[in-house]
Amino acid sequence: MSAIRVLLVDDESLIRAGLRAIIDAEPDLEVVGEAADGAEAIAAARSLRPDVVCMDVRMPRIDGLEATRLLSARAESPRVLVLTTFENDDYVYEALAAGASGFLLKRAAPEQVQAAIRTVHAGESLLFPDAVRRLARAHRGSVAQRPGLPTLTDREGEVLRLMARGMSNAEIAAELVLGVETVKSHVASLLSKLDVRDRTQAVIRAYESGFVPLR
Amino acid sequence: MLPARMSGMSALGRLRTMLLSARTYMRQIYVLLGSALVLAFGLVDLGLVGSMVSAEVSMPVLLAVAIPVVVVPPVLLGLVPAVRQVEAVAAESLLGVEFVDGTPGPATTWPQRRRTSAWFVLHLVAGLLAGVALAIVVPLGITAIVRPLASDKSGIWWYVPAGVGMLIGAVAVCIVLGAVVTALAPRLLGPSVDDRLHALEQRAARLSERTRLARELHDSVGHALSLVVVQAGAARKVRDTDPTFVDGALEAVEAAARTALTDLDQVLGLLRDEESADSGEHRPVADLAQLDSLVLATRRAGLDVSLTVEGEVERMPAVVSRESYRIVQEALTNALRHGGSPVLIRLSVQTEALVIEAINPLSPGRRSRRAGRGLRGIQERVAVLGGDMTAGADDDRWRLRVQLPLPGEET
Repeated sequence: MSAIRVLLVDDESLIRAGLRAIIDAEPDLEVVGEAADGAEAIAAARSLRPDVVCMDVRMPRIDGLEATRLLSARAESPRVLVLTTFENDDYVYEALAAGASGFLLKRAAPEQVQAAIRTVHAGESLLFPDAVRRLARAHRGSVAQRPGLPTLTDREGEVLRLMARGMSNAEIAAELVLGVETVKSHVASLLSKLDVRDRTQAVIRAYESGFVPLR
Repeated sequence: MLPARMSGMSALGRLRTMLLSARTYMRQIYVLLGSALVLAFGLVDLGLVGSMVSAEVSMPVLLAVAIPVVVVPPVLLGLVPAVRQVEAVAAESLLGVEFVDGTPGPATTWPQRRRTSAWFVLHLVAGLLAGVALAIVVPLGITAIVRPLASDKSGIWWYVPAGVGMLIGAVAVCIVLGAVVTALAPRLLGPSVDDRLHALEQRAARLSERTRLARELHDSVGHALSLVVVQAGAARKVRDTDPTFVDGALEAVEAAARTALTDLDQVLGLLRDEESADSGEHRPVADLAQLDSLVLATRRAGLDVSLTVEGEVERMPAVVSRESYRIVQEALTNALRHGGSPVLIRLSVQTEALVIEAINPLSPGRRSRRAGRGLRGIQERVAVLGGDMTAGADDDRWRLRVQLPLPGEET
């Protein structure tokens, strides 16, 4: 299996250098490029075709939020992992709502950074489910009212609830006593019914529509 | 008074509720206080008018003198700032008025004083009317009721209903007066639209100051610490394979942490200033007596500081001492920020001035983006005290010289 291709976007070169050292230290991860703002990021994503973009949110010119929106709008787009200094930054949730697949605190340990990139790339489980729920709760009402979910089968509903709890496909399969392939097909049908690109978006839709309560 | 509950009642039920409510009678006490005040003013007025009438002064002259004598004293008394607080407390406890933003204090602005004066005059007028109702109409009414019973005269039976009408009318006037003053109290004694706008603006300013501080912390300390974490983590990962990277990372970590500390210092200083401004408490502000501990703290932060003091800085006017401390503090912060070490701080008390000098070597190529902010702060302090300041490169050293005027000897 070839290495996961990563594009680093941050206006601080020392952060990029540090992340590059952390990522390149792993054989299955590879930094293919760097960008210092959102505009460079979009150009670099087009020419370098990375699998994952590590995106700072607060940047000059086009910020990470706008860049995430622009990147996510295309088909075949890379997955975006948002980098943030603080979890309670309004931009983080907006970036998730705009199409990012997950977010990561810059204070995360190197091992967490590596694991987060792998998780986002695989797309088989949700990154930091508790934090996503906290963010969704904090932003309740601030995002425009979304319509309710389309009709889901009972099975799909169960799968969506377990996805929101951060379970991977394998864990969901064990919980529901199903085959992993069956769970995968449920997830695929969920994503297409909800018209979202990955589980993070699906879970956010589930929270915003009230399908999964924000305790 | 519960309007929601009363709305469903008949007019009669409402009247009953009102007549049985203790508040209705408490209000009368407030109105009657006005009567007592009217009586006090009235005694003076009556004396004057009486003597003028007996001296057969002509009507126009009488009016020209009497009207100002009657009107001016209450209006002037109403302008006394404390009257607002006294009236407001009485209105709260007796009328049951609830003021927005708490009990109004003494008047602080002319509009407040004018409105209080209008209120005071209104209180007197209400007191006068109630006084007339109780002291004149009520006795007349009782007399009218009793008269037919005690007299053989026929044809005066209608005195009885007329007397009852007078009694009811007097009570009604008093109740209406109580309701009118209660309705007007918040408008004349409470905060005006301007007052409330002003309070809102102050609150908004405080909030935006907090937002600014939060952003400042986010941008400075948050940014620097993220950098520290990422660089340190990366250094750990490549320790064995890339020693050059580790060296660079350590240097970046050191610089970022130092900047973060300086920024934190500044933001904490702002927070402390805001806190003491908020609570209005005057805690002792640092002055030159604390200079030694400032130098010690700065040394601990990694700056080589030497301090020389010539003359008795203890016997300095408090304001000069405080501002000098802040000037030295900002000079040291600047040196920390720009990395010029060692720093020489020299204070010398001369006959008519205090001279502060800060000298440190220039460090080329390490100019901060924020250069000048500290200098501007010093400039402002110097300007307030009417002093002089020079700052700039002097050969390979950077030199700040501040001269603050001192008042002449006066022991």
